[in-house]
Amino acid sequence: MTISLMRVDDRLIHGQVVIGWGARLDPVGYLVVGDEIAASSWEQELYRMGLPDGARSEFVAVEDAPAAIQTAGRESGGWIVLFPSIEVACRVARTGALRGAALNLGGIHAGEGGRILLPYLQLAAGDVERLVEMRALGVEISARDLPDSADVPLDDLLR
Amino acid sequence: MSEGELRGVLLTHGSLAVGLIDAAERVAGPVVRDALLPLSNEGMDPTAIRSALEELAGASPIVVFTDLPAGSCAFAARAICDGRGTRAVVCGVNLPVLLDFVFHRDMPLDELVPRLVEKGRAGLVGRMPGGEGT
Repeated sequence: MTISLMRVDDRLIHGQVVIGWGARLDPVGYLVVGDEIAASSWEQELYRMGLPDGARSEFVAVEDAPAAIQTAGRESGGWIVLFPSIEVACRVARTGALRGAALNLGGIHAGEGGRILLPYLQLAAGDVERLVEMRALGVEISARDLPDSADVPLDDLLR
Repeated sequence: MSEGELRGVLLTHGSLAVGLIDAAERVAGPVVRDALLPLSNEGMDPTAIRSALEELAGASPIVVFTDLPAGSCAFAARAICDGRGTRAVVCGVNLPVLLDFVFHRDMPLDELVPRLVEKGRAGLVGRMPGGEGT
């Protein structure tokens, strides 16, 4: 499966993803999963403005994500898959579509009251349980905001 | 700052907004403090950025200046400004843009925004190793 990066990042397509990771991985496209973004053409347009020339993009609802990820995985060149939250990633993981995949936690800003694990990881209520659930579903989870930052495995995050 | 007067809100990554406003004030003086407000996207999700920007904007006419033309700052700026007649967005802000804004806030937005974009572009000057300009 040629998914270059599967990432949870509430800012979706932004500088860290396109420049920080994209320049390193050179993906053919960016697949964004989320019911709200899939239903909003104006938001999709704004996100597309942040893509490099020639990069493709797909915005799919959660129920369509397993098939879209499978299709993207068959393409040569690699895709970056983006989830806006751990909750959305977990919903997809429950379908079995993420078994064996590596999930990168790259940017979650739950705000006041959130559990701060790292400067770029402030988890919302229930997120720890969802991460544990995804691990049990065969998803390998670690945190890293940028390619040259330290990769922090889930066990270390939850210690 | 009087109600209804055009203001600028700088929405950027890290501490760039604070730094740019500080630099503008060193050049142009305290008049900058009436004209410009800083906001960083640090630690905020897209919804929080939009809320913070909306709160700073209030009911006054504004120009939102962002550092990049895409990404979380530009996204929030476009979300709260598009379709609002008294709000505009300028992306890729630099110091020449801000200095011109401070002294031309009385211009109508539909004249001011293209002017600011041109000032920004004109502020980019290159000199080659041999001394030739670009």
